[in-house]
Formats: sequence, structure tokens, C-alpha cells
Amino acid sequence: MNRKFKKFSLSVGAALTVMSMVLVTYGSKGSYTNWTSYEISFVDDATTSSNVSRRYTDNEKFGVKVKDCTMWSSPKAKVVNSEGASRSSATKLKGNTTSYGKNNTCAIGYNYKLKISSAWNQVGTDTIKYKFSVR
Amino acid sequence: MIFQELKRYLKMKLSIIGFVLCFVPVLISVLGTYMEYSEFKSELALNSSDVNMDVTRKIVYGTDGLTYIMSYFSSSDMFMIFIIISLFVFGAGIFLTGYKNRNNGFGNMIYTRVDTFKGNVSMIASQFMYIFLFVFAYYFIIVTTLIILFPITSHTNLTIPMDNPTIFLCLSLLIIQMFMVILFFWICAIITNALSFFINNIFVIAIIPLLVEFLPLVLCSVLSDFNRQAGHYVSGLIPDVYLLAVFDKYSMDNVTLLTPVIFIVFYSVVAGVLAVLCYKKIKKEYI
Repeated sequence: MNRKFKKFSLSVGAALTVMSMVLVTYGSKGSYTNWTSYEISFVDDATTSSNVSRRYTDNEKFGVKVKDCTMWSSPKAKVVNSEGASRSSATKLKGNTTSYGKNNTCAIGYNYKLKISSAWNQVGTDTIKYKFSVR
Repeated sequence: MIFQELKRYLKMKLSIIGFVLCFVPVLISVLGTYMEYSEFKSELALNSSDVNMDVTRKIVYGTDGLTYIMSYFSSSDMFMIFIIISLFVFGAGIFLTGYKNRNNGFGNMIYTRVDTFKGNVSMIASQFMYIFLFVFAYYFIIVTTLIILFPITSHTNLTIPMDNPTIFLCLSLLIIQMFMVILFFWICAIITNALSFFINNIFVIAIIPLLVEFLPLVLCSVLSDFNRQAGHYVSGLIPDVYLLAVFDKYSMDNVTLLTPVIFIVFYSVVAGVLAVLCYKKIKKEYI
């Protein structure tokens, strides 16, 4: 095989490996309180949970644990109050993992719901099983 | 030949239009982040009892250029639209050059003077350079424009749950992601150029980069109908997972170094195998 081609392939392979190894692998996660759990279907663009989570701390993060979801796109979740007013920034969800959102402006002692919107590339109706905590 | 080819790519109408179109999702993202900021600002004015005013104040006064930049580059919708537009532009534009050259008089004129293999290698090299310039210019324009429009404050507040978001850390993450995007486009360039030797249909070749983006998604959905675990394994090959891994590390559990490594290794092997097959075909069938 051509020498230059070998060199070219080797250098591309080395570059690909080095680049992928440079990824940052740290982050911090907190503890949870008061989980709720149920299933929900994506019939509409956005769905608000019927279960509520009570706020106990001043933590700026909120957590959503997804046990099972049938979509491979990433739906988004944000905390809302009983009237649907936003109380956090949106975070994306994935199957079998816990996602953390930020800018949680919930006040201690109040109950909040979770609003989930389907991703732009979701096709049809899918199901997601999750529990969340505003902490 | 590399620089002449690069000049040709830079002057292509489709490339210029595509580059401009890539800024549409940025505008939408900036608008979305601004609306969210306005919402928090109105909360502050309303002084509702169910709102933590200290956190809201911190969000309102901490929203700056870095917030807008990070919101865009970590979003799974707007940023991925940029990827799709780019793949379409590359697929219908620069990645077709090899196929077009082999099928017209101009290309034949080139290949009677230059070795076909050498000609194709320099063509891919110029495509690599073009992709690098395209992505670098895109990141540079967005970062500088947003920092000028919304000056960075000393108490930046991001929408990603990072504990101590410094400018240095944010820029480092953006640079890492930029190189990951470049690598992904380079792999797409190798795959498309190699497959163009085996597929004799210009439209099929043009959509190959988009297939790299969408095929794993479809595959996941189909596979998971039969076996949920199999679908889960294939999900590692979805470009979204790889391209956003650098930011998802902060907002999700189970995102490890392995996630992008699997993606890169798999597609590098695919690109490598196709490149070898393509090399053999060139040696066998061309001058």
C-alpha cells in the first residue's frame, strides 16, 4: 500500500484518538428528597406532571431521573408552579439516567410540577417513566 | 492543487449560503435565552411568594454573553440543526466534487495529468481544510459577537449546572467541542468520498452525510422494538450523544469518556475500511 496513504491513515487515526481522550470527565451531583414516579405519553407537544415535589433547600439545581423512555430524541423538562409559570431553565432528558437542570427559583415550602416538552426530532407518540425532585 | 481546490470551495455559492443559514439556529437560540431571561426578570418585578428572589436576582444579573453562548452550544435542538444544515451543505457541495470530477471533462483532464489516488487525497485534504475553516469561523463569529453584544460579568450564571463556570473553563469546553465537530465532519467527508466510488447516483451520495446523522436514530428505534438493550447499545452511535457529551457531562449521570470514544472508534473503523476499499478500487480501475 502507498506509503503516503499509510502515513495519512495513521495520522488521522492518532488525531481521532487524541481528540476523544481530551474530554472533561468531572462534575458534581447532589442528593435527592421526595421523589415521585409515574408514566406519561407524548400525545401533545408538552405535558405537565400531576404529581408534585416539595421544595426543601436553596439548591439551584433540580433532578429528573428517567427509568425508561421509548424515544431516542431528547425531551426537555422544566419546573413549573401550579399555574404553569416557569420556575427553572430547561434540561434535556435521556433514558436510564439522571439529568440535572439549573436556575431553580422555587421557594422553600411550596410544591412544584414538572413540564416535559418533546424534542423537535421526535416522531409519533412515546412513553417516558420518570421521577423528579426540586430538592 | 490543495489550495486551488480550497479556494474553489470557499467561493461556492452553496457554501456561502449554507454558512449564512447556519446562523439562523443561533438567532433562535439567543431569542429563546433572552425570553427566558425576561421571564426571570418579570418574576423579580412581580415578587411572587413562590419564587426564591435571591436565586432569581442572581440569574437576572448573571445573564451575559457566556450564558447565551453556552446555551446555544449545549442545546440538543438548535445546535443539532446547525449540524444538519452543515451536513446538507457539505453533502450537496464539497463532498460531491470527487464524483463530479470523475464524471465530467474537467475532472478527466485533471486525472490525465495527476495520479487518481494523489488527486483524491489532495481533494480530501482541501475538504478537511475547508471544514476546519468553516467550523472555526462559525465558532469564532458566534463567540466574539455574543461577547461584544452581552459583555461578560464577574458573576456569570449559566443554564448548565456547572459549579464554578469560569471563562477559561467555558472556552476550553467550546474548543474541545469544536474539534469534536471537526472530527465528525472529517469522518463524514471520508465516508462520503469513499462511497462515491461505489455508488453511481449523485442524489444518494449527497444524502450520505445526513444518513450518518439520522440512520443510528432510526436503527435505535427499530432495534429497541425487538430488544431494548440492543437499542441502548446502538444509541452510542447517535451523533447528538457524541457532539454534546462535553456539556452533558455536567447535566447528566452515566456520561463518561467512553461515550464519545466508542463513537469515534466505530466511525473511524468504518471510514478506514471504506478508505482501504476505495484505494483498492482506484488502483484496480483507474490510471
